[in-house]
Amino acid sequence: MKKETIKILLDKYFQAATTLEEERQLKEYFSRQGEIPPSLLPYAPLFQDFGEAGKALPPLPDLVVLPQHKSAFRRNYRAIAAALLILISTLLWIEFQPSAKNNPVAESIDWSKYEVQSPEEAFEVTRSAFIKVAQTMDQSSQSSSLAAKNLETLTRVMNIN
Amino acid sequence: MKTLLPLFFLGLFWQSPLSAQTSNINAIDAYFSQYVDDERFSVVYVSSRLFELMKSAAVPELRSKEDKEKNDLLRYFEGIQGLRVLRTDETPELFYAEAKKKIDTKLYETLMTVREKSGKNTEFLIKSNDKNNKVQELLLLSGSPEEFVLLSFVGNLDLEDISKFAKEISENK
Repeated sequence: MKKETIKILLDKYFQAATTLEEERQLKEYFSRQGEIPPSLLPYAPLFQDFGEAGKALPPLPDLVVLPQHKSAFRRNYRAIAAALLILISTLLWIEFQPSAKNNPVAESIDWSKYEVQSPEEAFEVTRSAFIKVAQTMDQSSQSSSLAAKNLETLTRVMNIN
Repeated sequence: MKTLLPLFFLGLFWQSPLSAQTSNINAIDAYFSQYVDDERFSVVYVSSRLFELMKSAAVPELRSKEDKEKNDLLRYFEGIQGLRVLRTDETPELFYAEAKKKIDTKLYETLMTVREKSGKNTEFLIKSNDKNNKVQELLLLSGSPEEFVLLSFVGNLDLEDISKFAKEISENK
């Protein structure tokens, strides 16, 4: 093939306008070593096979499947959920506590100021209080039995009439 | 996640025994606290420690075999763990009416009400212990033209014991 024809084909090649046939011709031309004019030698490597050297290239390594790194959230979502539940429970528990805040005065009583000093005194106080309770209860039962008796009499009188 | 749900609900509804105790104490303390430092009121408190001492043999004066009344009374005191008394003779009827309004009737049920011709009104309120059918607290509210008294017995009280004692008093009159 003439040098001029090759030059035209090269121009077309660099304009990406060559056909497959033309590229095959270029390849064939530049594969004939020793016949290439020095002005075209710089283009030769573009169309030459790598030959044996190409075959000697080391094989590509197998694709290594890297372990999928889960995000920190996905890895620990159970722990995060548990922590949140505990936090919410604690907050709710604190919220519904009948605390001293709701009843500030209740916590402020210092009963020791009013505490009786000896077991004997305590006995007397408790005795008086207990007797007061018992007497009132007794009084109440007496009045209710009196009321019941009165009601009974009333019913009897009404029945007679 | 399924295993965590019961824990969540447990945490939500769990109330410690301490908190339950606090709520019980607060109902009556709230009223006492209002007048406990008021000069018009006299206040007496008998702690559980003193009740323990009374019941133990540590005080021989209270353990005299000859004094039957004391021995009987100590038997009745068995379930009592504390006593608080609040008393005044200034505007007693007003304090009685106010106390009746302020005592939380959701916590206490009325055991009996006594109204006398003299104008004296007495109300017994109890807080029951569901576990053993005993009374956790017995509250006596009494108001007359002469005095206002608020008595609070706490512990594990047996109402039968009190009414038995009331009968004994009546028989010994």
